[in-house]
Amino acid sequence: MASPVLSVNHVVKTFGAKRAVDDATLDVMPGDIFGFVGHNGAGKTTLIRSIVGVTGFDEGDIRIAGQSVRTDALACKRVTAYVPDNPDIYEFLTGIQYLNYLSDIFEVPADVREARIRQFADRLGLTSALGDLVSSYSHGMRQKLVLIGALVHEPTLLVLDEPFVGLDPEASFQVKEMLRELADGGSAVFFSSHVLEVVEKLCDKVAIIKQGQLRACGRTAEVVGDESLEDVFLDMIDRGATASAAGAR
Amino acid sequence: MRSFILLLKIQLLGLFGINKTLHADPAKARRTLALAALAVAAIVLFAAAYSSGVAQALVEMGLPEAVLLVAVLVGAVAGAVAAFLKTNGVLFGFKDYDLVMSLPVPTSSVVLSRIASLYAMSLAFGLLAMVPAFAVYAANASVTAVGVACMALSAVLAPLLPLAAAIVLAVLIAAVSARFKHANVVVIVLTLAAMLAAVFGSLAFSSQADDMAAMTVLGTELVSQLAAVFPPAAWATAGIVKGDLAAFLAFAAVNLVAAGAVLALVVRLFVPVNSLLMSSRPRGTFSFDGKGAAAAKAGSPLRALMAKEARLLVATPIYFMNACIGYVLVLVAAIAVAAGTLTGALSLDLLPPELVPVIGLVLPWGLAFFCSISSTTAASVSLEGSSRWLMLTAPVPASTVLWSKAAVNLAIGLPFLLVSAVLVAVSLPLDALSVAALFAVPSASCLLATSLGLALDARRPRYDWTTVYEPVKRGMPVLVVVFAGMGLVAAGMAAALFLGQAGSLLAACAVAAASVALYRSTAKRGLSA
Repeated sequence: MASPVLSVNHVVKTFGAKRAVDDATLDVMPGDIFGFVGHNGAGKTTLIRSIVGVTGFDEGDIRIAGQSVRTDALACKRVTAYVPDNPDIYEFLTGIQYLNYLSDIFEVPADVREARIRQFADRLGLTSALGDLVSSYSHGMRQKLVLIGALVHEPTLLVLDEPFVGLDPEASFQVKEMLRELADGGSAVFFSSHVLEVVEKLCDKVAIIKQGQLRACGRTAEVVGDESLEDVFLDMIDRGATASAAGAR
Repeated sequence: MRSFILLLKIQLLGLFGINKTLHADPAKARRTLALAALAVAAIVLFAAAYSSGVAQALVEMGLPEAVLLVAVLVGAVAGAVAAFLKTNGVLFGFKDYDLVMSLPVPTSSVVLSRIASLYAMSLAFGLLAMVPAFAVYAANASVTAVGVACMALSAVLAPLLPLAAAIVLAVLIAAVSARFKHANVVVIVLTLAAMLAAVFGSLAFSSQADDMAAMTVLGTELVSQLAAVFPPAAWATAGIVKGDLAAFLAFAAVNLVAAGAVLALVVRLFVPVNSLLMSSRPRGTFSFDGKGAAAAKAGSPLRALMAKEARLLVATPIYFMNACIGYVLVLVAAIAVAAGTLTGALSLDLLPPELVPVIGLVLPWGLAFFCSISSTTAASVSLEGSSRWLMLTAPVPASTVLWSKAAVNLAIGLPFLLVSAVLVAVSLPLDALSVAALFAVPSASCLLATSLGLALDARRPRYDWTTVYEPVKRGMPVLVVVFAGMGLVAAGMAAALFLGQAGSLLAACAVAAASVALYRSTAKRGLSA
């Protein structure tokens, strides 16, 4: 059996007294597109930021391609790409300068990077704007640029936080295709989203997080059952609200 | 009025991270406030000592009136220069422009709140320069109640006219530069030109004064020249000294009318200029078959990081002006020395023989002054801002990221210093030790500014800025580097005077070693999220 690309083992992340991520455990296998859903403030972005090495965590371990994020962060970063929820990137660079910068950082050879940039930029309709400053880009264009930058080094693990926000329908379709192609090539995709229909259709596996705890995790078909993901998610929220109200009484 | 107060309150809460401090944990807030209080006390003490020292010297020269003229002129202009550097980023091109302009408040309130913060800064600079000098004047001349009132009003009104001029100049530069593709480079060139014109203008003024033979003639000429340079200062002086209310009213009227006119002008231009600056659209002309074929060149991660830092510097005029102006000025000073020697206007033979060795001793520290009070590194980590995820997720060690930031400052600073040292060394008849110190002392100072700025900014980065002005001008690391640089130069000069040139060289070695140790400790500590 193949080893997981991403393995989150009993991870705890606290902010003061608050447990933002509480004993989270999940595995993402090669070829998986893994959806990660939860309401605002549930802990999605916190766990994602811990996975990509932006922030530390207090307990447990996160392993990427067999390496520990805690003890061998650089090895993990080399095979990971991250697309944050806000495409905040260096506005003083042109699109192509940004992509070259990332390619240099990830040490992608010149001929390989050009072929990949051409391919992805053409598919997302961004090629003609690559010579312009990022400061002149719209939100959606920046999102596309960040995606191309994430894919340019063919990551083993692609982590995305709300990747479909700001994308036009055509780009959204292309991104879904690109994620599927990446997964079919043996990489893994882990992304958070509030667009439950997309998660349900695109993802092989799904996890639902609430108040820092994973409430459901597994194959999408198993988690959803006969219902839709939206029904399952809302049911979980309602149950929580009812329990809270009962507790309050 | 209510909307103006609310907007101003928001700006003031953001000032120096006050609101953040208020909502931090009490122990941290106390530490931050204590540090801020220390920094403010140091600035006030330094300014008071300098201003009152100059004022006392003028009084002893028998020129009490010149004290007032100089105080009003320097106080007003110093504030205006600071406001000029800040205008682009506070009045134009600020990050929350869309949010602020979508609020149901008149444009005039938005403009007024932003000009008010510029005025507050000008006023602070003005008070630092004026109040100690006024106190020295009051202690040495009989001042009437009208004179005291005029002094108080002068301090409040004097910054208005230069501030208005500074804003007009900044608006013009912003409007002109917005029409060019590389607008930020144009801003840097125009700002440098304006600052160098001011430096050369003041040098011309000084050299005219140097030609005067007798001290009394110099005093009279100085007063008349200052009055000619900035007549409102003379009108304020007339009000304070002679109780000439007509002259003082003219001073007040000129300042208030200028402020009102600029406010009206900026209200009119605020939206068009900001739109011009912010609404640039992609031209969409890139193709891999044209120039784009050469665009995808490969380089090492360090080279990529350094290129990114250099591009940030060139693309951010206020960052460049704040961090690199010292290097430009040191070269200008060295060229002035070389030109003066070449034309015979400057010669050590003109000095008393006992002073000649002193020049050789203090000159290296004079050059060091320019490069020890600023460094690109002091804001370089904070400037990653909301894009810091790129730095933090990059598969390169934190030490490489930090080294790229330090290396850019050294790559810019050291060539300027070396060329300047060569120019001075070939221009003046200095002994071998002095020539060695000319190279070693400024280089060591540059190393210290680089590693100290980086250490402080990496340890406590401020990522939540809304304009680059915040980390670049108001950041704690920037202020500490300025004061540490001043302290180093003062200590170095003392070491040189007491221990000779060997003392300077030893101090330079010690500073360089400490800088390397500090850098290594910073690299080991890594980056903060």
